[in-house]
Formats: sequence, structure tokens, C-alpha cells
Amino acid sequence: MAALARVCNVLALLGITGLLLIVFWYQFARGELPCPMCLLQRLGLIAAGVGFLLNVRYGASESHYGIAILSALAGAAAAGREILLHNAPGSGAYGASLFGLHFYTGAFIVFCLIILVCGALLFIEGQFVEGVRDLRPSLLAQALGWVFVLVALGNAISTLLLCGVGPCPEHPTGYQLPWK
Amino acid sequence: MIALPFVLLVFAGLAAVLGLRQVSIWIWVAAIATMLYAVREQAPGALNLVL
Repeated sequence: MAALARVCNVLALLGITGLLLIVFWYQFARGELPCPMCLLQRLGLIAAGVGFLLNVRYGASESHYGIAILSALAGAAAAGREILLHNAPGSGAYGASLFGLHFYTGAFIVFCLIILVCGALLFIEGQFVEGVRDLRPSLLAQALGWVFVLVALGNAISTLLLCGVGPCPEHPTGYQLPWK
Repeated sequence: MIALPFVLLVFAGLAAVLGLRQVSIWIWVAAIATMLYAVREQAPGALNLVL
């Protein structure tokens, strides 16, 4: 069962990295600039990813799952707020949709899934035993950790270019490039 | 200011992959704190929130 928990953590990290790459592709290939709420949801995803990364790198710990759950709660709050904003009649929607769901709706489902998965994985007590916890991660899992950090770095740079060091515009129209 | 928690989370991830577990956790805490500050900063305008 401990091995199952380890695989689930790697898959969760892989899924979060994949999701961040998908929204990145939409941002750069299709010109879908993220709104401030969308940025908060990305923050929630990356912060939850740190929790899974810690589990993958150092073995499972309750505090790592806590990081993932609290981050997912923060992200779900942002996504839920955006759903409510665009749920009001005449308010329209923001951005593209994927599989018939707008990104913020999809994000809300993903955050709920993260909380659900963490809650379920916390039942596997075998993963917290010292000998099991101290197993070295595979090379593939370590490489995934580096890819996740690179994707997070890309998000940080794009947010800096989009918002600068101040607050973000409500409807961003372009990047604040220094050479513009 | 919303860019700051992104930068902090990059450092949290970097600390995690480099073997600094406790440092990573503390940077994550700082990132969440700055994220809350960013929410407070943007609440009345871009986020349409009344706190």
C-alpha cells in the first residue's frame, strides 16, 4: 500500500505539472492571458505541487499532505469565487474552455480532487513508517521534480512580465515588457 | 505583488529538490502569506471582493 501512495504522489505531481503546461500553452500559443483570479488558481496548483514534490522527494509525511490540502483549499476558494462571479446573469465567461469546462470550473474540480486524494492517501498508514519513508525516489521522479520547478519558474517569469511588481490589471491586455 | 508568491514557490520547489526540506516548508508558508497579502491588495479591484 505504501508503494501505491508513492505512485499516487508521483502521478499527482505529474498531473499538476501537465495542467500547468496546458494553461501555459493556452497563454502563449492562443493568447489567453490569465486574469488575477486565474493567477491565484495557478498559485494554488503550484503550492499543492510543492506538497506532492516533498512527498516524492522525502517520503510521505502528514505535513506534506497538509501543504497540498491547504493549497488546494486556497485554490478552490479562488476558483469558486470566479465561478460565482461568472455565474451571475449577464456576466459572461472568461477565457477558453477545455472539454466543455472553463478553466476556473475545471480548476475547482481539480482542487476538490486533490483534497479527496490526499484525504484518501492519509488512510495508508504504512507510508509513514520510518524505513518506508526514507526510500530514495527514482531518477524519473527526481527528474519530474526538476520539471515541476522549471514550470513554476516559467509561471513566475510570465506573471512578472504580465503584472510587474504591482497589482495585476483586471483584464490584462499584454505583457509589460521592459523593452516596449 | 501577485508575482512574489510565484517567485517564493519557485524557491520552495528548488529547496525541496536540493534536499532542504525544512527550508522548503518555511518558504511555502511565506508564499501563502504573500498570496493572502496579494488577495487583500487586489480584493476591491480586480478580484471583485469586499472584505
